[in-house]
Amino acid sequence: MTVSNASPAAPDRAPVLQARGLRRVFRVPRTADRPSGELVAVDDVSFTLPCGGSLAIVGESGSGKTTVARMLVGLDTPTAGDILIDGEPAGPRARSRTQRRIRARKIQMVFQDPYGSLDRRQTVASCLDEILRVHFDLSAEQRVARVAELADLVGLDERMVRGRPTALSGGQRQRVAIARALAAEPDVVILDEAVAALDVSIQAQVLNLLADIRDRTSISYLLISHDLAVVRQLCEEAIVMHCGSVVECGPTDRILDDPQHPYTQRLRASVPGPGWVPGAAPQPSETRAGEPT
Amino acid sequence: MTTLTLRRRALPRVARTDPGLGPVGWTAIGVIALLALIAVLAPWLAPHDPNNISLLDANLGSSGDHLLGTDASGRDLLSRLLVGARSSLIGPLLVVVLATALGLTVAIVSAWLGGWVDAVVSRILDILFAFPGVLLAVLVVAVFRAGLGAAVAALVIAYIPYIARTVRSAALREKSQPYITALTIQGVGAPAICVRHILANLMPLIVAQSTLTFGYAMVDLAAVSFLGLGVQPPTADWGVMVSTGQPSILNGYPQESLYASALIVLAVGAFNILGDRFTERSQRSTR
Repeated sequence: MTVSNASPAAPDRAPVLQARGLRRVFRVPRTADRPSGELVAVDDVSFTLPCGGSLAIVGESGSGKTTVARMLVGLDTPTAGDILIDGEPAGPRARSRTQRRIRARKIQMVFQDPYGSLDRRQTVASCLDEILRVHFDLSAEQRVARVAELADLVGLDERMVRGRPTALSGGQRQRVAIARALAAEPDVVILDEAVAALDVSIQAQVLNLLADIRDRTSISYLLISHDLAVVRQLCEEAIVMHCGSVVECGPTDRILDDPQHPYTQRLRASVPGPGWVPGAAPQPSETRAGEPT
Repeated sequence: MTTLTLRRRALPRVARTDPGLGPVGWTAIGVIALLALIAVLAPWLAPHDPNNISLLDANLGSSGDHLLGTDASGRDLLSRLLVGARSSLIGPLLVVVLATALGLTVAIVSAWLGGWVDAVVSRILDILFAFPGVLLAVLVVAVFRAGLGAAVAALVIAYIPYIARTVRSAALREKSQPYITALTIQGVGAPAICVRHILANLMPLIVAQSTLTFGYAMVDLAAVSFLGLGVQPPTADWGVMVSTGQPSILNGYPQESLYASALIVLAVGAFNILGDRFTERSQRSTR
């Protein structure tokens, strides 16, 4: 049994995930500074995630990156624009169970909060087993074997698998969440700030694990992060979002080492490093006040 | 010369294992188990026929034949108390089981669907809150017929909003957890999420709430029976006995009302203590 049913990257294959002109407008109460009663959370966002590739969406809180993720997994409907999965347009919003199940086989998501994203009363084994039962027609023994395989893939030992998440650390829980995302054998995993809540050494372990899984399974990652170091470690391509729009896109190294857009430059400069002086670098959000939202 | 003493502060003990119910909690369980056993075995335990009237033996004190004496009609009090445990416990049990089943179904469905369904359900519950349980019982009895069934039906309606309100707010909190979103994305069906995840996580709270409700239901049912709207004499019931023993108190024979009241207090106290313990545990488990 393979870990993922995604076929190895072929040059002529359609991009596994593509967004074209995504736009999402929320209706909000009319206020003095927002007379239209509309909040443009995402505005004309386009990107392409090649099969087996990895793309980062970088931006600060409120830049619309999580809204993009919610639209991709079908929790939210774009106001305009298309989402293409394997070159085929995905439905506007996965409302029915069947639609959600079909989309789950394509796109999975790992959440930021490793404490809230697992049911605290459910053992790890039963958590993975439940997902397998939703997506595959396997016998009980096959499911047990598959659970063991998934646990092995993310580096969880048998004792942890039998236990409840309350007995696990944040990093171990995030491994469970990754195993759960992989259980459906998706083509794309969206990592929504998936390592942001972990401390640095555990972060490195989980990032290594993710890189390792990609090498072995040709899975694609869409990393949503504000952490530039994490982005550099995992993704070849990146797009930078600011106030709902893409301000810059390109190879990660180019964006991080030679940022073109002023916002990216400020974002880059605000990262603490050797010789960093608090307050010396302008805060990336300083521009927000003057800009129309 | 100064001596620096590093006093090692005792670290707060982290409750890693469940401290359990404690001696008081276990005593409460013991009392409840004993009362339940009595209710089940009452016909075999009772030394006399609880409805056997013998006016010659009226208002006797404790004796070898009548351990707790007799009431104004000469019926054996011990036998009546033992048999009375049945209706006195089955009544609240029915109220709790039915009110909890209906209340939590309404609450979870309403919390899950949200939107206008939730708004309508919440308004209906608000209206139900306005009905006092005992008043509703009077109404139901006026429409139907006095008896345990009518009293239970009235109290079920009166208790649904209390259970539904608590469960709904807890279900809303649970629904907002990211793991529910994760399950939704996976394509797990709403009934499965509601039963296997939301309900399973709310179980400690529901058990605690039901235990407390049992105590309240017992007092309310006893009150309804006392008013003559619930269990009908001559059936033995603690609430009825408090009521029928009243004239005897004036004649100087308080035992019937006294013993029945004591048993109600004992049972309600045990359920309240156990309910409090369960509540504490459910609050700990959600942290």
